[in-house]
Amino acid sequence: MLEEEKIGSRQLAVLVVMFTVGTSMLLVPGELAAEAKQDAWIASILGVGLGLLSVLLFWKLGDRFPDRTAAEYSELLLGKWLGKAMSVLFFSFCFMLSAVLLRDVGEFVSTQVLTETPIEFVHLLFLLIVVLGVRLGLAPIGRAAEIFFPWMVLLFLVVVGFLWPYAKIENLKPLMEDGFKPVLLGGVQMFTLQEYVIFLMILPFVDNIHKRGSAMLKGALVGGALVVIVTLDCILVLGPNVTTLYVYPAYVLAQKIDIGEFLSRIQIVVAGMWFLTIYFKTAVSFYASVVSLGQTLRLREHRTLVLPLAAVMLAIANIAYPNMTYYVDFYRNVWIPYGLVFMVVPPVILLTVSYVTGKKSPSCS
Amino acid sequence: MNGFAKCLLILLIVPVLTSCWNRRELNVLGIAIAIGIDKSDGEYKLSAQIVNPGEISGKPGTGGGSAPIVTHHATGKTIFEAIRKLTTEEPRRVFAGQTRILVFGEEFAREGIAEAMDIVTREPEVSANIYMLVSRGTTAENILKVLTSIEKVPALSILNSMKASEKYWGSIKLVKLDDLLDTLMTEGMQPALPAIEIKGDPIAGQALDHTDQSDLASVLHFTGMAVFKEDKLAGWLEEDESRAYRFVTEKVKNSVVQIPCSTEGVTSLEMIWTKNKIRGYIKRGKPYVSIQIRGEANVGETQCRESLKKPETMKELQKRTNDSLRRVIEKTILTVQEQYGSDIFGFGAEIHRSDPKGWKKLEEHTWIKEFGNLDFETHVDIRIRHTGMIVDPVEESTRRTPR
Amino acid sequence: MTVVGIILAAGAMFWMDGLPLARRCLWKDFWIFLTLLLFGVGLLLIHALKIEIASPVYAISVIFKPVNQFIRGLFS
Repeated sequence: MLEEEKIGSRQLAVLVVMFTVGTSMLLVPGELAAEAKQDAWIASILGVGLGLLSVLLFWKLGDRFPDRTAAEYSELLLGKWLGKAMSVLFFSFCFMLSAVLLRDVGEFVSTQVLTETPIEFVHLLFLLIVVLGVRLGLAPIGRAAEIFFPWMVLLFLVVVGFLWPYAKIENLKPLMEDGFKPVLLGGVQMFTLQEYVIFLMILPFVDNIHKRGSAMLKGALVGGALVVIVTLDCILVLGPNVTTLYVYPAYVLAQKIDIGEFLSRIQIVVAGMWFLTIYFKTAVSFYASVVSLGQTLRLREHRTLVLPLAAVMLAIANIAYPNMTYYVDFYRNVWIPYGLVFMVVPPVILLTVSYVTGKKSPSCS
Repeated sequence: MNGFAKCLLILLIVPVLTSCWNRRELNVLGIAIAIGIDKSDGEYKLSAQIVNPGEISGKPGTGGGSAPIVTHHATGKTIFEAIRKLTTEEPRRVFAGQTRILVFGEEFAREGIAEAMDIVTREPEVSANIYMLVSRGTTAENILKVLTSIEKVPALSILNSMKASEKYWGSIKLVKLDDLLDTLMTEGMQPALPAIEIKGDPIAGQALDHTDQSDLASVLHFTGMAVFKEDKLAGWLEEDESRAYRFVTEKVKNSVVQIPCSTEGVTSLEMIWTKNKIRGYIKRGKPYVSIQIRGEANVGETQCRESLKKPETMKELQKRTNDSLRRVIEKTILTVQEQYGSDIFGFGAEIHRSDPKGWKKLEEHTWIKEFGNLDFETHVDIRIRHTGMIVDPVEESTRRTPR
Repeated sequence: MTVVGIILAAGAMFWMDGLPLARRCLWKDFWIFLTLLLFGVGLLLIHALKIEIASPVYAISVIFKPVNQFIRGLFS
């Protein structure tokens, strides 16, 4: 184990909030508006609902094996070879997610803020802090999340509050113009961007067994609400057309804040909030991938994996998507099905096998 | 990690955090506070109004007596090329991060602004929050060259008078970049941008000493709205038509309306607020829109001789107000419909919102063509509340020999 | 220049985490560490030398693009 210390259930909840908001606030409004147009907000509510259902699934599964991660009990449930294959799959998902998140940050900064800086440097800087956090362990990450959480909420309220005068209700009409199918598709897409399955690796490190599930649920609810509000705001203020046009509509939203003549151009402060949430999502995912690989390979100390995996992650973030087009295409057409399958299929398999064979952790209550 | 490694790490990271790659030192930036786009000889002509920081600095004695701004222009086959070419004239890199307004030249606008919108939207430096204008009777370049008094930077002067105009006179509706984008991308709506022109001699307006006089040789002046059909400039709305346009398309907080008296003279009403309600639907394949304007007004000034103390007079005045406004609105809509065939009011979009099924059936004919078939009815209901410090007109009460 | 930086960084990583593993005779950990490090550094070097290689996510794309078609087909 990487941990001597455990994290509290409140820290888990905060981490889940940060995780949910993560990159979703940047990417979800545009994606949903492309699918569902002015009903994007309905799709986002649906997405949050689906996410909550998946949290219930993971809660149940986590409770069957309160002191082991998914990588560990895969082997218990499925036997040596299938189990190892499953835990390798878990690792690959966590790891791919971390690499994608790194690229998310890099792409955002390169596009909007530091347009001449090579993206590799943004990756490197961000990765350094992620590595620092993960090497220190989950507890410092949890505490840091707790500290930053109120700031994030404050900034969020600032954005939503100051944009209120610009909202136009008629942008929401006509309601459900194309029927329910685009909304459903949008909701499913948002659901996969939540990637809660990572927490199957994190649950054993939370101290209070009984509070784990409810903490996750609360976090998912709060985080989900934040994303819904941002999506709603985008549609209300910018309109569905403009939301679809821009790659990062939420950033354009932040540009519109203009109070009197003195509070304007604060969009970068809002971007700073996103750096925070993306950081925690990346740190948690990377931590999960380190733990899962370490457990799959039965290593004594997981900490040693951090640096080399970070190097590979940096390489993937730099190389895997040669340009923006590829990146957007990857997200829409590869990551969505990949995430969807992964969020649902392996946990369901594991849970079913656990019930059927009656195997669960002997130390459960 | 031991202490030494930590120190090393910090020492290594700190230089990197200064983000030298993207540094923009202030003294090498030419801050373009307004940008104008024209077309000349088939090429794009870009003008930038660049601030001369020394001249507008707050400290006395730092000004050398030169103009607060300087305009540069460059031409190119694409706007991007023109922007970069600006550096051949202006030694500093043109920085569009503080641009507040974008002016489309009249001739350029007639050919279509959609292409120009691409770079303006794509470039991260340009905020989506900038105001869009069309120059009338002159080029954007000339607009940017006019110097103003009181507010040293002309673009800021334009900005302030634009906002004041929208607020207190009500004849223009401000349009930001993202509003324009939204309108361009919406099927049932066409853009309309505020029009700006030079009143007076454009050449004299460029001289610095013209701001030394109390009576300026040339002044920048807002004259109403420019009507676009798709992305091409089609024509202009005069002041009263622009005001009608505003009443129909949005809530107006403050405006002035002149109502003719039964004899000669007019009463000026100060509109305190108006609300617009548009309902659209398709009836038997024909588009139909009902417009309701409600509002309250105060009497600001009256030349009429009727005593305002009598309720009947008030009622009569209200009725005349409603009729007058209704007529102006109807005239405006008809003019736009027949002369330009361009739905700047967004009736199509409203029909889309209220009657999506009917709208879909209409898809065979595009809305541009269908707009001509639109039937509409207007209801105006303005209540007059206050009359200011006095009720009866002064002229009535003035003791003098009758005319 | 970047290449030198990458190699230096790799050396630093090795010194920080790899050597202690060797000193403690945790050979399995050591070899896994080394393999991953070399793999990552190798990829970074290839990128720094501007050699174009197939995207590592290509494999996942190949598997999941048909899945994507299937899922979208369910919805249209």
